[in-house]
Amino acid sequence: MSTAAPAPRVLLVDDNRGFRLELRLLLEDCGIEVVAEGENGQEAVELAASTDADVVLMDLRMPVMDGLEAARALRERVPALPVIILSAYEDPALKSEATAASAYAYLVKGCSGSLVLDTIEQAFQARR
Amino acid sequence: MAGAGTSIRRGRRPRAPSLWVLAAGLLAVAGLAFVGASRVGDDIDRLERAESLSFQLEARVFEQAVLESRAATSGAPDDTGRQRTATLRREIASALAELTSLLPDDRNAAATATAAADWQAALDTKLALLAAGDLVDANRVDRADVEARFEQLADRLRTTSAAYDDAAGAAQRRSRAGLLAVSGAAMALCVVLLWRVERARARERAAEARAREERGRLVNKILSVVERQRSGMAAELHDGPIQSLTRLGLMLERGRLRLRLGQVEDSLRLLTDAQTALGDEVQSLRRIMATLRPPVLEERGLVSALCDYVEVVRKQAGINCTLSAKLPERLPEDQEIVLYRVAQEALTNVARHSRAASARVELAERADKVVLEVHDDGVGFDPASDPVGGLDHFGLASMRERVELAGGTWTVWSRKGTGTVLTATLPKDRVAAA
Repeated sequence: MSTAAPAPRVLLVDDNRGFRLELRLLLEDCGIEVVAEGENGQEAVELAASTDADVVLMDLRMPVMDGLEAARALRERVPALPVIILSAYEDPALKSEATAASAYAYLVKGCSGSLVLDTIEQAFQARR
Repeated sequence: MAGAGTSIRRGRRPRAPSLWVLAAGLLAVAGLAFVGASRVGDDIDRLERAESLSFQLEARVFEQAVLESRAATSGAPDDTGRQRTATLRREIASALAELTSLLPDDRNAAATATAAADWQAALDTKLALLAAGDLVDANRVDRADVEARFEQLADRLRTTSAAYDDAAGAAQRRSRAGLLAVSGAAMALCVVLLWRVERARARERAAEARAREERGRLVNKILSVVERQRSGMAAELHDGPIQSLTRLGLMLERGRLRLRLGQVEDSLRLLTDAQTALGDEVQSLRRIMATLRPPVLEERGLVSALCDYVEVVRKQAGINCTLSAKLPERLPEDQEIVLYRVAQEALTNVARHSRAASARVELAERADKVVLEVHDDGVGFDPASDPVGGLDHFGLASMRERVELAGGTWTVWSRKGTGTVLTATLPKDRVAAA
């Protein structure tokens, strides 16, 4: 990642606070700014409207509103905002649903940090 | 367990009134009809024999008359004639004696008796006339007069024969009526037997259908619970180990990044944090494993496992839960699992629904049985109608099924306001296959 290039601003949404914290630290270590954090899909939709995030990195299974529903809502309200699903479920059906909801990518928790970082960068570049 | 609470037990269905009583009654009716018909048949035989005898007697009498007439006209008979005459007299006497014995008694129709009397009178007259006929030639008696009297005799014999025919016809009608009665009774018996057999089969089919339905319902409930448990386990793994291990992976990723940037201290700190988190996660996985199958049950037996679980209930549910267990030796493994799961399910119900202040688990040997009782002083319920605690509630139904599959019995006693007692009894010497 070039230091001269603008870094993506990420909206991080996950109901597990410990995981969210660790992921934010990793992203920040790599120069990625986490502009806001949410605990469920509802908060994701609200924060996407109120922040200038470039990419949404969001869990799938969450209370109040799950990641798929939030992705569909974001597609309606902020179509240009790429959504990356980061789920614990390695399930082709869920992946298809995420694709149908126009998610940019579907990552499975446990994948390498570099894959998460690369996917965020790609989504950011694609948006630009 | 005193009081007038409701106890749920499986009972035997009362038996239907005996088929054999009905069958015996019908057979008796058929037997009486058969005996009656046999007696009618006997009467017919007697009448036919009498009629035959009368014809034989008539022939013998004529033959005797001819012989005696010849003797009267031609002088002294020869030896053959005398022997034949003597034989005829014996045969006539014997036939008369038999005929007398065959005379109808008071069971038969009056017409038959009258006919028999007429026959006897006609025979006497005929013999008298024949005797008179012997004198026709000797005494020059008017032959026309004798012929007329013979003609009268013939009329009387025809009348007698007709009377016998009437009597035989009546007897045959009675016989047919008897046979009809026997046939009717037999057919009625067959119909009743078939009806009873069909009804028994229908009952059996209905019972089998009910059993199949109950098994199907239970299997569906079991599958449903298994699915719920799997779903719960998946959620637990999602929210617990997967999140934690993923977080650990991120920590290690950060540590590697820091190490690459030469930030050794930070990297070491992250590695230490990761090690601590890993230890916590191992403990968490052990707790999940213990929920699935407590190792203490296998290693130290039912009493120790119950002791641990009672302690958990005391701490987690705030219920004063105690255990009283007296077993001289460990039970077969399958029985330990059954009783442990029953106690676990019962105490879960106590914690969730009973609002009890205290609960007591008792485990003891009684005679050749092992008895587990779980008492609580909670709100109780009506086992027959309570939607939560009723028998259909899966917790109770699965407990009952589990115990019965192990060859034991299961009862629940409860009444609103006075708590609940659940009892599971297993045969001591049986190695259960549940």
